[in-house]
Amino acid sequence: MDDMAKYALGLCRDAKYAEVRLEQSEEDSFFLKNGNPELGGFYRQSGIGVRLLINGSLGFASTNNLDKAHVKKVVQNTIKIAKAGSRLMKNPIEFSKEKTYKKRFIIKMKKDPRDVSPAEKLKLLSGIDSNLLKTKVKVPVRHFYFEHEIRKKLFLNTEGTKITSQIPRMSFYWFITVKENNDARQKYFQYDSTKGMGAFKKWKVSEGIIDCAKKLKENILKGKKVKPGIYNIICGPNVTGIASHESVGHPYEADRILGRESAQAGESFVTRNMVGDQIGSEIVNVVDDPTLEGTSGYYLYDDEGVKTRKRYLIKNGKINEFLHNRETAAVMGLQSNGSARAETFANEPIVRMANTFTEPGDWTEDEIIADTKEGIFMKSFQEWNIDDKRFNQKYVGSEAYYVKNGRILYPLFAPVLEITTPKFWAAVDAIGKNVELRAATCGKGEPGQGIPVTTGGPTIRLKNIKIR
Amino acid sequence: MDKNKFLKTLMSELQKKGAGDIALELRNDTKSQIKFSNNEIAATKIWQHEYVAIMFELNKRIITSYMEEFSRKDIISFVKKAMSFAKAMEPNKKYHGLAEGPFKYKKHERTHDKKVSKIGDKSIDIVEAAMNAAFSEGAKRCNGVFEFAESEETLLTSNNVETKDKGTGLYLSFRSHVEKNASGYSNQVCRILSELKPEKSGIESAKIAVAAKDPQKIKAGKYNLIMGPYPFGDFLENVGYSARISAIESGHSFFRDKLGKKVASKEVTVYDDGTYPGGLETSKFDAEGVPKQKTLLIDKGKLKTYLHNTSTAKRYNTKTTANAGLLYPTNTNLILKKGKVSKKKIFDGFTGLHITNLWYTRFQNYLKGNFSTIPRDGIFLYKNGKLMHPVKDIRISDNMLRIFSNIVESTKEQSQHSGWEVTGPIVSGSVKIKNVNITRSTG
Repeated sequence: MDDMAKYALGLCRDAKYAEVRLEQSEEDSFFLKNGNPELGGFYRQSGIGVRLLINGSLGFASTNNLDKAHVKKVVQNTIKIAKAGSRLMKNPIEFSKEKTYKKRFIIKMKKDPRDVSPAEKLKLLSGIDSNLLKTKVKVPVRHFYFEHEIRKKLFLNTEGTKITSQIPRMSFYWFITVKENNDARQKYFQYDSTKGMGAFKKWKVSEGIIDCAKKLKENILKGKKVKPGIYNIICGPNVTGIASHESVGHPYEADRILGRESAQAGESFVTRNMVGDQIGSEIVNVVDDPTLEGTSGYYLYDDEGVKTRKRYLIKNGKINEFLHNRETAAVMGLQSNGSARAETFANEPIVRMANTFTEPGDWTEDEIIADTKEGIFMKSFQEWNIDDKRFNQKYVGSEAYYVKNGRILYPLFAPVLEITTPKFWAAVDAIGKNVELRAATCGKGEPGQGIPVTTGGPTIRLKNIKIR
Repeated sequence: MDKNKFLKTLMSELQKKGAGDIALELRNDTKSQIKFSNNEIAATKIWQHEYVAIMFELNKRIITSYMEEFSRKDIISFVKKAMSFAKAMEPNKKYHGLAEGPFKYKKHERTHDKKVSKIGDKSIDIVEAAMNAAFSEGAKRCNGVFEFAESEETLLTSNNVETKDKGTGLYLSFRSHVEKNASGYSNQVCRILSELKPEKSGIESAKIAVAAKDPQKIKAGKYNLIMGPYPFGDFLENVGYSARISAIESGHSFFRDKLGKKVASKEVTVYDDGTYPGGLETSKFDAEGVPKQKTLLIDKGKLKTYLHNTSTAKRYNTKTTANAGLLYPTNTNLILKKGKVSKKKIFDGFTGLHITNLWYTRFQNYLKGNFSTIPRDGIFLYKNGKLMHPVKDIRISDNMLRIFSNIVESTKEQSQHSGWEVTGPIVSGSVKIKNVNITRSTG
């Protein structure tokens, strides 16, 4: 790998800056649909991504053909087009000055999924399926998808940074449809870990999916519609997590704030001069922390070779900092906080989240419920979306309950929380201790890049929210 | 190793080890992108990837994989791994085989243009022309991507298919901004360079952005909508996806148990057409080598068929619709049959909202079709055919079957689209829909 990376970097000698990312990945996947083993797949991929700054213009080239003559041709074409683009650059692109590193970063697993045979993995999926079928819940649609990968990366840049990394990931995804009385409810869930096969047991997939199926059945049989009005909304960790990701993480991505993602993933209601503004109640702290071992968003050096760190996006209710790569940091006169990520060698690194969550407070979940005179406990959601400036968001409850005088009374059918971002975070008056992180895949960029992340937080309560 | 020889050697080695059905698809894709933001070039990008996508069956065990190195040594090591992987799998009892060739193929028009691969650094001029046109209409800030691509595909199957095709594609995604809350979007796709009109995108997006200045909030409630071709494409795409038999089986479709039934108003006729002239998904054959075809999906509101490959068709005692992906049926070009009204006349006497773009469509329940989506860029309120004012901060929260049943008319002018919000490709005109539920944030 070293020789090819050095060769490719050498092709960029006329550039002000250049970096090379060389990758090799191995991925195996298995799909069980309604009890039937639909397919197994294995994929071995390698390739190179070269990014360079020349005449104030940014060029990127990628190929999976590692023949030197071919790499040379692709890089030369990229230099030619990037130079042509420089005539439209009134503000030449610059990168922030960062420390250089020579590091080897390898995540070791106790039990490597590659050492478990495909038959055993399928048996795991079949076991979950048969456990689910043993319940008295009718689940006509059952999707189980399991995959694992090992990605080896070599990063080199013209400033002398060299990072070698090896990151394993293992994911499990399920989707079910529960039917009763000619009605149906649906739910999906995703698990992800960098810790190897041991994580599978800890996920307790069977318990989780059976519990979900029972709750969906109960929701069909006993769920009532919400009477429109003003309620206290108790958001379970699942809902707090998606709100942290969508309405704090995304709008704090500096490339959105600067308009670079305008044509695709959108911009932000947040402007660069809003740091220090009160955006939530004083008890709200939201962070993005890539350094949490074992999580799907775990990394120590980003795809620009910058050492990453925990970022406080909201501190004591105030906007604290944005997510930066080297380009956005230079524009704002700052240092990168290590937020540049690329899905594979074939994508340019752009500003991304990792593990985004609301930090814990002092309450237990039971205390929050007991303290609520009238409210809606939205434990999980199914449908959600948010506008392209991250200002208007919507979450539709999947497992949800009506709370009266401190007690959960009955399930609610699809309560809708449709609210602006400032209103959501300003309304928080109680935060639980029970932080949970949930695996997710975050999409951004064009072509779209799906990046493994977690979204999370504890149970929180929003005071006096209008629900329809 | 010569690529054709490579495919045949790989086929032969897999067969020697007992593989039954085999499909090998060699692809060579080259794509370039000019990404621009804030009136400058944000990045120029080039991708060049060559690989063989592989599907084979060993005693009903289905394996997918790909290779990107092309020596005999690579074949030997791949086949060894593939066989050990396949033997450890369980049989897929629902698999019923690949299509039996050989087939005769028609050449389709406007699918390849040798000028596309020679665009090179002239791509910057194309972007500049679009931006200058936008500025001339009042745009202050331009953002987007321009892409040009060429691909070659060779398909070899164990069932007497050996064929090739090639194609080119062009994509211009253009957003103009006038001020913080005033933007307009234009989307252009085609396969022939002479069909690309960069200035049109600049002008179209800028005009929407200028008209979108000073948007106002409106009350939630029921509104009639006129949706432009691109945002309606989002709904059309959901129709196409829901018609795939794999979506029906997976519980991801509002067309489950609806075959032969009314699923839309009589104004709605939809085709999945892999032969559409100039369509981005137009090509000679599907992933198992069956010649692509035009399939009537919805006829005057009635659902006529699901989309199949050979295996799923056998399972349901019907014929393939030539929609095979490597494993599951997939869509080609989704076409809404032309309406009768002109794009000017459709606004005559119209009271409701004109939607120019959408994003972030999500379902609460795929089987029922309950969903919401968010209008993006210019949104305009009309009363009795007169433009009243631009609108902001609304959401469409409704049901897909109800939406299609409430379609009143569509325009005779149509355009093809594909992009960030609508993968497509789709071909549609503007579409009028009555009584659509509009919601907004309650706080």
